[in-house]
Amino acid sequence: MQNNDLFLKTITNFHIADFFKIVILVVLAVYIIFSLVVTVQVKQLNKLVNIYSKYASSIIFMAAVYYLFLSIALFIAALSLL
Amino acid sequence: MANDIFIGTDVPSQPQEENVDPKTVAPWERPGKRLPLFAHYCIQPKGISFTTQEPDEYIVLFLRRHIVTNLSWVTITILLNLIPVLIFFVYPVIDQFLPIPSLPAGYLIVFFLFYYLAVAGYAFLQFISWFYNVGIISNKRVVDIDFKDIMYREIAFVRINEVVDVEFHGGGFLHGLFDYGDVFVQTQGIKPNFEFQKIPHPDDVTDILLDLKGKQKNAEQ
Repeated sequence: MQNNDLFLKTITNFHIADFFKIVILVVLAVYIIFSLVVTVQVKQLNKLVNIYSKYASSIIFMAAVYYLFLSIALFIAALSLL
Repeated sequence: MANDIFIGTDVPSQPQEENVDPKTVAPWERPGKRLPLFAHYCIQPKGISFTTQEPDEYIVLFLRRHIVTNLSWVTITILLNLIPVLIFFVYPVIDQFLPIPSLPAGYLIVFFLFYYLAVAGYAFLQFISWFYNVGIISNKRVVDIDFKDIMYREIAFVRINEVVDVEFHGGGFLHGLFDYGDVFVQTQGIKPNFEFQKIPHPDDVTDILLDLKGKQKNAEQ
């Protein structure tokens, strides 16, 4: 009985805003995974197409890593702002 | 030889003739030049090699999609970047006639940051898709590296003597203006056919491939 009350209380307190928060955080988490995949792919492609210099390959890889960090930073920001 | 397909340092012997008259020799027999960073067409590029390269094999032609083909995604990226700025100016005007319930500041900040991150991600993916989609024609083989999406890439090799036919297609205003088109390389039997899409000077590429094929055939006889 007590559990049932708690469930009802949770449901009634669950606003649409909470739903949006969860959706946004899930989307951002998926985005982090996407960024991670891109970074790994760029690293592998650099091994494959290392045609210019170490610098050119490194710059593209660093851009991918930077992008991954931005995704993580945005997820952390979303956790604190929402 | 190292395990990478392409290595920056060990370049196999390319024809290094010094006083070569460009009018009298075939394009691939002219002295090579260093590959520019954003090259889309380079004859006899210096500083590239690939793993399975044989000692007497050298790269004749390095290909990418024509740089003009990047114009579409660059334009889309610029427009996508301008949309929030446009909303910022239009929103107060619309709000006067049709009041719109505003979101909390936290949501707006996260939304806009995510939006710009997504736009940057789109641009980055488009760029690496162009940068790593490479076609290489050596004096012995044709190599096609396709980076189709973030999860899938394909590398195919075929020997010049296995090439049956080469043809090119090009049509439309931009194709004619910037001289780019598609080159199809038909191969023997079960070997996959090659397709170099939107590459610069498709007629020259076809000529070079057919000349190389003829040269190989003569050498075999």
